[in-house]
Amino acid sequence: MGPLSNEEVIRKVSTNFVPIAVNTRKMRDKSIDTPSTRFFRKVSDQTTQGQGVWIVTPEGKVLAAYHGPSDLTERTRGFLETIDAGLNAFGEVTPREFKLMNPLPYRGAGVEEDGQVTLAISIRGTNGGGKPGHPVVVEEHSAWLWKGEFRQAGYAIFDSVTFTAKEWTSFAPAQTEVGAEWTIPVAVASQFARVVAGRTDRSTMFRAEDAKLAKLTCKIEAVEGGVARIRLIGGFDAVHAVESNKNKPVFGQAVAEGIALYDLNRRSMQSLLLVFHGTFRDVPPHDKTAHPVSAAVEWRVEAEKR
Amino acid sequence: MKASFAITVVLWSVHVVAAAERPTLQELTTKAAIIKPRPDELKWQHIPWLTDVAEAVRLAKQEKRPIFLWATTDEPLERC
Repeated sequence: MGPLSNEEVIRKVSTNFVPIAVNTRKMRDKSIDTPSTRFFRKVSDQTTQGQGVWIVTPEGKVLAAYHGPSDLTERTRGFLETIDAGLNAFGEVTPREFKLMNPLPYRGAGVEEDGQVTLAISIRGTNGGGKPGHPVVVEEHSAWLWKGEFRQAGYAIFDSVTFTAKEWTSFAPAQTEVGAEWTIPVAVASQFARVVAGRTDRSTMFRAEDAKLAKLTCKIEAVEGGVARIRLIGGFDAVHAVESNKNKPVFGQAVAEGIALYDLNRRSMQSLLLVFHGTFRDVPPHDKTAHPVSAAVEWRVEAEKR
Repeated sequence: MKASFAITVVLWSVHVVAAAERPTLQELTTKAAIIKPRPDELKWQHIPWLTDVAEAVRLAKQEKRPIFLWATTDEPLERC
C-alpha cells in the first residue's frame, strides 16, 4: 500500500489535478512517436528521475517532481510536499468534483467486442493452511510457514491475464455430459505462470515461456439447471532469469484448484475461479527458503457498470 | 533445484488423484477472499486516472489545471 492509497494524497490529486498513469517503457519506446510519447519525453527530459511523479503544466513544464525512498511514511510525506509545491507553482486551481471511474472495466469481468477476456489476478504471500498436495519439498527450517490457519503474510499484487477469443474457447467443454474431461492447451495454461510471484516487479515475473510445467485439466463434475460445473486442477513449475542478471534465476511452483460455470443453453462461460498455492524462491543466494505464495484468478460474465 | 521439476510432476500427479474431496466453490471463494486485496489496498483506484496522455493534456488545458503524471516501469494500474 503506497502513497497513492493515502487519503490526503487521493483527495488532493483527485480534486486539483488531471491524473495520468503511464508505463515509462512504452513512453520511451523510440519506435512509438505520438503526441503522448512526445509530451512524456518533454516532461521526463527536464529531470533526472526515471520514474515517479511529475507535476506539470498542460504545456509540459515541470513544476515539481519526486521519486522517493521505499520507506512509506517518508515517501508519503514526499508526495504531499511535491503536490503542494506543484500547486503553489501553478497558481489558483478551481477544485473539481470528480466521479469514480474504472480504468480497467474488463479486468475480471465481461467479454470485449473482439471476444477477448481478461482474468483478474490477485497474488499474495500467505502462511498457514497446511501443504497437502503442495508441489515442492519444503526444507525443515521453513515448514512452520504452512502451520496454522490460512492467512495473509504480505502485500497483494494486482495483476491480470488476457486471453484471445480462441484461447478462451479452450476453457469451454466440447462434450457437455458429466464426466467429460479435457486439457487446456499448454500455450494457454502457461500464461498462468505469472501468478507464482514473490515480488511485484516485472524483472522477477514468470513469463509463459518460463513454464517448465503448465498442466491444467478440466472435468464436468455436475450439471444443474442448464449450468455445467467444471472442476479445474493444475500444476505449474517455472524458472525465470531476471533481467539484470541472466545467471540468477527465480523459481516458482504451484498447484491450482478451481471451478468454472458454463451455461449449456447459451453456450458461454459464466464464471471462473482458480486458487493457486505454491512457492517462490528468490535469486541466489536468497534461494534457501521457499516462500509460500497464493493467487486467486477470477472472471465473471457480467461487466461492471460504473 | 534441478530436481524440483521432477518433484513437481510427481506431487502434482498426487495432487490430482489423491484428494478424496475437492474444495467446494464456497471454500475456494473463502480462500480467494484472503488472497485478494483488502479495500484499504485498493484506495488508489479512487483516483480518476486517465491512461491517454494526449486526452489528459486536452482536459488539463480545458479545465486550466495541472497534470499529476505518475509513471512506473511497469503498468502502473495493473501489476502493482
